[in-house]
Amino acid sequence: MIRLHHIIKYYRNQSIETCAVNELSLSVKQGEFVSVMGPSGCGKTTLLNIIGLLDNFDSGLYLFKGREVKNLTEKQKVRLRKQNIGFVFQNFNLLEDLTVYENIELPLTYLGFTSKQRREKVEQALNKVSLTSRKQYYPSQLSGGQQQKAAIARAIVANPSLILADEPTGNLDSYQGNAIMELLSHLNEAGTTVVMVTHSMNDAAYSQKVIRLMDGRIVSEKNVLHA
Amino acid sequence: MLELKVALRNLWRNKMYSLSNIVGLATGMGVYFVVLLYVYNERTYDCHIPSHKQIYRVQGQFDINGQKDQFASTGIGLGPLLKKEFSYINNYTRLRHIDENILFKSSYTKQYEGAVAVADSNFFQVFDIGLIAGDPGSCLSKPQSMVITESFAKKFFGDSKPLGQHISTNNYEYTVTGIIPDWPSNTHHKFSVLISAFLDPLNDTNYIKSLWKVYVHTFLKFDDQESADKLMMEFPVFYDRYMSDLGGHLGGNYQIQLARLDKIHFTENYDYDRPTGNRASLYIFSTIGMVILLLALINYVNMSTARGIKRAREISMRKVLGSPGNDIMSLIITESVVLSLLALFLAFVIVEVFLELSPLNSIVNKDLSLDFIAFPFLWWLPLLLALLVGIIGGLYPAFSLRRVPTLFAFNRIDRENSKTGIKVRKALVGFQCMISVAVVIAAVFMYRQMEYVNNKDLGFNREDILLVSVPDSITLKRIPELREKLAQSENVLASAMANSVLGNSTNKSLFDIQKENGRFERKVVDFMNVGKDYLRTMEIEMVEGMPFSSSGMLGNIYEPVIVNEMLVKEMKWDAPIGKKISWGFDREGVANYRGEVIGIVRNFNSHSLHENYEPMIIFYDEHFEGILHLRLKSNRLIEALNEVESSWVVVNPGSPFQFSFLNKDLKKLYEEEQKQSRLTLFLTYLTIFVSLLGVAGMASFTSGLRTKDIGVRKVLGANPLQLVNLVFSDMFMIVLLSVIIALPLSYLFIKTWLTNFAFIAAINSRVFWISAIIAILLIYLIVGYYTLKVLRTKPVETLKYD
Repeated sequence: MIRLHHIIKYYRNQSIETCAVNELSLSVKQGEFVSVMGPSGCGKTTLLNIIGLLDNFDSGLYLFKGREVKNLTEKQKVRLRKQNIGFVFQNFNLLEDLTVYENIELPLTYLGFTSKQRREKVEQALNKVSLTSRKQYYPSQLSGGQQQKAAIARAIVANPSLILADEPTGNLDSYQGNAIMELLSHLNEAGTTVVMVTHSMNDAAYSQKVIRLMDGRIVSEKNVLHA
Repeated sequence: MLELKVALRNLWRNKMYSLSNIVGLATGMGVYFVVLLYVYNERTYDCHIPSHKQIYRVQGQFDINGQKDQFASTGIGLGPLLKKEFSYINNYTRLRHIDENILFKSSYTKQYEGAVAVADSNFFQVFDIGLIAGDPGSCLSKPQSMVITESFAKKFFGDSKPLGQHISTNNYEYTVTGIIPDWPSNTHHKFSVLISAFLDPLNDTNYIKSLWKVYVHTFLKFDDQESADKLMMEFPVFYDRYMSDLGGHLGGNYQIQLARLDKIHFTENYDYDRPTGNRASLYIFSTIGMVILLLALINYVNMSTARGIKRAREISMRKVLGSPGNDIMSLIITESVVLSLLALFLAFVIVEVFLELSPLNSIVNKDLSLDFIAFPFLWWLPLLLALLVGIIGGLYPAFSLRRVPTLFAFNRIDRENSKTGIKVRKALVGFQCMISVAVVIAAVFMYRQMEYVNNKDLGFNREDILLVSVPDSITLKRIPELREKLAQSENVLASAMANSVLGNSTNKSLFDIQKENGRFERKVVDFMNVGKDYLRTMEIEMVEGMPFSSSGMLGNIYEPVIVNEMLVKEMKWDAPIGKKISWGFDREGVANYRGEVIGIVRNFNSHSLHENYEPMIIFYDEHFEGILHLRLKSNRLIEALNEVESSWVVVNPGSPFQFSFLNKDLKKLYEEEQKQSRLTLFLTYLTIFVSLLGVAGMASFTSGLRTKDIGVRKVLGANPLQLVNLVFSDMFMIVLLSVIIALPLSYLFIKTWLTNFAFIAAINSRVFWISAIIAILLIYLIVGYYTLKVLRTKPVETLKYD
């Protein structure tokens, strides 16, 4: 599903040039659950942003579902992104002024679904994350775990084939964190590919493959053994 | 002291913010100061004359058969008779303006001058302005004495001493006996040249006869207000003694009013007055000036508060380090006051440069300047204002920032708190939108009205009419020869004499007019004397009867008379032709002249469009001094003018060729409204500018606050248009609401302003809607610009953190 080949990404700040991703090659198959780990500043989030088509890279080859993305226009990237990728962030990034329901509905609005279709899909997503009873709440009225569930519901509502999660349990306690990981795991079992950036060994244990990064390079790639 | 240092450092560090805030505030202050100067100038008319509180102009109201007419002038005998009758009148003086361009010649130059007046010898004893040269007591005591202003002296004598020198006109030679300073622009009765007159007192009988013919301005000087009130009380005694005789015959009455010199400028609706001020427009300008200042202040508070949110972390850190709340408040208020004082300084610079370089002074016929010595209020008032603005502008941000919790530095933004702030700022921006839309609509209507006034069908063709002054009987005798000569020219289509110019001033007189039932009704009616071809020259349409012919009298008894439709309507005539009119009453009220209606003309605007059509009687008379009207060929104006001038020089070698064009003269009738319209337009631009600054500030701030929101939506697939709409939707309701409030507000304003006109351009509802839509579109564009600016930020940079 994802093939990265010798990807290089620099950050330039006046006279300083930092290589965030250095000759990185990676492939993720459809239905895989991959965790990306490494110390702060090693390039995890940059990698995730490149995969999610939120950031460009300087050189290398990136094939998403077999399609080369480097030369896509911004419009084409937006279309590819909204049809295939769901995002889950550490700080949830829910819109404070919208209810849980409206937050989840938002990607469907941009995809042009009818009101009836939206209602069905949002209800399904809410069911999947067990948040139906909280759909009229505002984010500020929910616990961190519930907010992240809502964010996940928003990420999956359009049935994306890929979920990119950036430290999804980073702002949660261990109990809430486990619940979120269970949820991602179920989604993966249902066929959704998940790429997750995490610091937590516990979270990584939910995935099938763990990639370790150091200075923008992959230093190890291990399959996780599940009991 | 430390606070001041930190405040200055903060302002310097945030140069762009400081600069935009200072410029916005300075613009608002600058406009306010200009309006303040204008209003002060208008409200202090004639206050430079030391005795202005003792001098009163006598105005009068005639009531003839219930028809009331008010005049700013009086009969020539009123002053002397009042003085004789009421000993408590300290003094009186009379002034008459000669509203004609007169050619003056000195040994140095010869030029036309229009601001000429004649006055009593004691004029400068009543109007006790200091003379630069000459004796105020005697400078006008001899015939052909002339007092001139400083700039007139400069123009006619250069650097040489004018006193005792001679200036001649076509007919007379005058001696300069006094020099006065130039009149300030806020002088109601001003002139460049004052000639001695009324030197030979008439006897009482002649003075009494004159009381019903008003053509001089009479000023009375009292020792106190009580004396003026007393005269008003006792005037009926005077009327009974001197005026009731003829009044009884005429079926009329007369009552005087006294207007104190410094109040004259605002006594509206008096005939034979100088251009008066308009109190309503003065209030309008004051309000607009204050509103612009308020708009600038709103921007200032908005920007300070918006920036305050960015500073919340800094304030919070100060609290963590032990700073008390008051300390923070005084820091913010100090910053605000420093900024306001800087804005004040810039405002002074802007005003000075603006008054020097812009045409504002010539547009409004003023000499406005930042004269700190003459107007000490220019020191303390702006300073007080700047301090107030600084404190008020700083108070709200100071209070809201004082409430910032100490833990703010480490926690997420207190959203609820900042939301309240946003609501307040939105309301303020809404107010700005409302004002802008209202002002724009008002300006559009004022402009439309002025266009209407300049283009309305007046009932005669105002274009291509050349007016040539025929000042004396010698010149008049040569007019037939001149007209004959010009009749040969293909560039001069028609010509005729008339004693007055339409729109300028027509004469009024008392007439007995035959009613349909054969009886006569006594009325005051406008009249004019015109030559044979006048109607053809002016292209005034005849609707019934026939024009004048050179045969003159009808059966040796009746003079031919043409009237307008308005008189026919007012007299309810079914068969107007042949109706009799008589006039020229003696002391017993017996008419000396008789006329018969031979024709009816379509109504035409003999006055300005401020007044409705008036009944009009037109007499045929070739033998009077007045104005020669010539209709020139449209596309050959210059050639025609040259031909007329060269023919004039040949026929009247000694007489100056004084001309003007009718359409230009007519425009002068609306000078006050043109002034108001231009000033409003100028203030409108500034209001829009200041309001747009506010909207831009708000849009920048709102889109800035929505950076994360926009980022999230962008990641979720929103397109730029959807995002611009999103940010705009934040402001849309408030903009819509402000537009809805603005519409009736501007309607009321324009309705009030239009009451000055008898003829008005239709109030077209499209102007309201189009202005409203343009305002909304403009705000949309600004919001779009700032949203797109935020859109350019990569979402990855905004999503990570709050």
